[in-house]
Amino acid sequence: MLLKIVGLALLAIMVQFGFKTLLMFDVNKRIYNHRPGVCRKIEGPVHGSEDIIIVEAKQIAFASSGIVWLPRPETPITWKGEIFLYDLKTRTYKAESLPIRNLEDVDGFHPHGMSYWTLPDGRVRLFVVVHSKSFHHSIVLLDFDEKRRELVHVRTIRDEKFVRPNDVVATGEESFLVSNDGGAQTVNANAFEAISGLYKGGLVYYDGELSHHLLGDTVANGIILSRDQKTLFVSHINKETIGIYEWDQANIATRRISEIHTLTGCDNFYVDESDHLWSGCHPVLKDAIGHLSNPSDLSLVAPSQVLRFTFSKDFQTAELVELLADDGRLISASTVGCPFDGGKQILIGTVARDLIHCDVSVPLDFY
Amino acid sequence: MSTDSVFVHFVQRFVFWVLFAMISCFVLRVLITLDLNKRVYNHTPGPCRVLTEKYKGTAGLVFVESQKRVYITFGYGKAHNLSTKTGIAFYDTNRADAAKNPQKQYDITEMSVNWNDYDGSTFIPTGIDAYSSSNGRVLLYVLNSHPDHQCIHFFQVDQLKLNHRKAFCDSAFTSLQDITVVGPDRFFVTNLAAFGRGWPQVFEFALQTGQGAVYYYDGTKLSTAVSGVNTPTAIGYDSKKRILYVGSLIRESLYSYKVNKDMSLESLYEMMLLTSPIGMFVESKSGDVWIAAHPVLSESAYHYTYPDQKRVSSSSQVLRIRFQEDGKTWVTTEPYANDGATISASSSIVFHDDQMLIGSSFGRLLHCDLTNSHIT
Repeated sequence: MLLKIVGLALLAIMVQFGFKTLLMFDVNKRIYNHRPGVCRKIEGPVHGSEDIIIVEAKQIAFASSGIVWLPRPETPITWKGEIFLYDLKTRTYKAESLPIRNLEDVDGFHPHGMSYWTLPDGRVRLFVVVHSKSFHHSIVLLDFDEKRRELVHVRTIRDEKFVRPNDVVATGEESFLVSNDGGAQTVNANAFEAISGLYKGGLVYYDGELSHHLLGDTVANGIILSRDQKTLFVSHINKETIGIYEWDQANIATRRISEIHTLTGCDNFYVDESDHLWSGCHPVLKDAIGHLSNPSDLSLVAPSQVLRFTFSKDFQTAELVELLADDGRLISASTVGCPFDGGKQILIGTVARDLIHCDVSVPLDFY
Repeated sequence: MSTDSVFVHFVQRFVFWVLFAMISCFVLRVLITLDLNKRVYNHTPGPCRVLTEKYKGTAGLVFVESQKRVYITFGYGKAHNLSTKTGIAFYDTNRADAAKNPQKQYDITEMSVNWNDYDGSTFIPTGIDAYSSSNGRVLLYVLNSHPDHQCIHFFQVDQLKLNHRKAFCDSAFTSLQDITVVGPDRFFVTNLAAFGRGWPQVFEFALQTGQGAVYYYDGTKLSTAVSGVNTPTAIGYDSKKRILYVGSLIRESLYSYKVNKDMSLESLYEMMLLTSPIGMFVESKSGDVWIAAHPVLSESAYHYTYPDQKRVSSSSQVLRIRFQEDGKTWVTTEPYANDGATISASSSIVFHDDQMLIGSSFGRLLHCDLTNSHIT
């Protein structure tokens, strides 16, 4: 009798687990297309524009391309990692691939998340999460030489705490926050990690010499600081939430403020001049997984979504506006949305496909 | 232990496991249907404004091309015990008229009804459609959603007045939802479920028995066009292609039927929308199908249970389905979505001249301009 009850309880747990897994994969969701205006693909990046940096002072944007993430042994990596430069002032719809000087491992340069810091002499320093073809990780610092239009390698930082870095936020000339989006290094191990819920990702702070654990046993995807550098936004893509934390750089400490449920897998972030948070999201996880399993297969696409979050003063609630949604035919697996030109234009990046430039001709404030 | 008791034991276990599987599947299916892991993300196709907050529910809209008017039913909330005024109004979509009189551009005009000896006190209008004859006569066909007086009312438009022509009632009408006109005094109507209201209807929905129906009225006689449909709601007719579209609330899909010469229906295909259609508008020029939907069914169920509570709102969504040249493939766009703060539980939709009107079950009527209607 007791055995029967235990058996039934286990069975109920299994059914519930199966159901939660189905919902996690978004089997009952789909995307309905809409755009904020005319959209165009930018010539240049064809194998990804995973992260975008907008340097407002110079009216330029950088995009990382050619990502390698959980590579499969059977899928050859035929693309190269690049960083593209895009002029926001003109409408050429062409991005320029920047040569990188003094890079020690050219073949193993596959950029992922990016951030930037302005040096005292006005130069832009890029902080780049880099994976090699064999999926080894580092954070690479590159200075942008505006005259020569090239990137100069400054430093490569490897650390055991950079378990599986995804995104980076610069906090100083050589200090940064880095997110780990998991602990597994292979596809199968990652699948186990995702389904079992035993996450090994988290958040790490590197102060220029040493690294410090901040968050552990979770998934941290995109990260960004508010413009006043006091509030940290973390995408917990596994839970479809955005975690909001106070960031105390002097004491190297975070304090959790709230967690916003989005019901969509938000990736990277951008904070605009009005302190709206922008993100590119994956609304249907099963399609995103299918697409990312073989990014070179053009028949596999994933839905895209660009959201804008407006937080209450205490960061407990957020109003969401959906700027764009696409079933994958124009934009596949969006990762970030960066508005510029006073919000009248926007750049949208993807994991492994094109960089998109859209006009915004619909109102976004309508309550 | 005899063989009989072994067999009985086996049967007991077999029955138990079959029942367990059936109940598990049932519960999981109900949970999936409720859309618990869904939400909408707000966006508009251009500037929007609220046309009216006076009426509790603008559940039916129809556009009359010859008059450039949108006829609006209001007061659906009365069918759910709200104290609200019921009736029919219209909105003038002519931009030239708006240019002459900007102050009244977004006014809607209530119409007085000449009931011609019929008792109009039980009239709670919801679904509506119109027929324009070649001599300029405009006939309106309006569904009465009163729980005890489910009827179809025939009106003729006379400037700012409506003349009641007749009412058609039938015992088969338990929960009339929408109507689409195919000719003078000829139309299809949807009946949502066998039970009209209350817990029997809820159980019918949960069990997904598919007891809804589509009826055809030929001017004198009512016949069943399709029986055993799963919760039919929105209905629309493309007269050029002779295709009838029927939305399914619970199945979250759109059925399409070929209308034969004898008005019998031939099933074509089912489009999975993954959102619950409530209202429909078929563009006569392009053949595009516009759908007003409830994207999160659990929210809608809660909202319909407590329609008078402001805090209990339901998401709104408008879809546009563009058919490709072959008529067999389509692209779905979402011109509008709202979490319920601006408009709650969208139930009807009309599009004309880069303008869109969105009605709701118990709340506001919204007017939007479409900035890029060619891509929206």
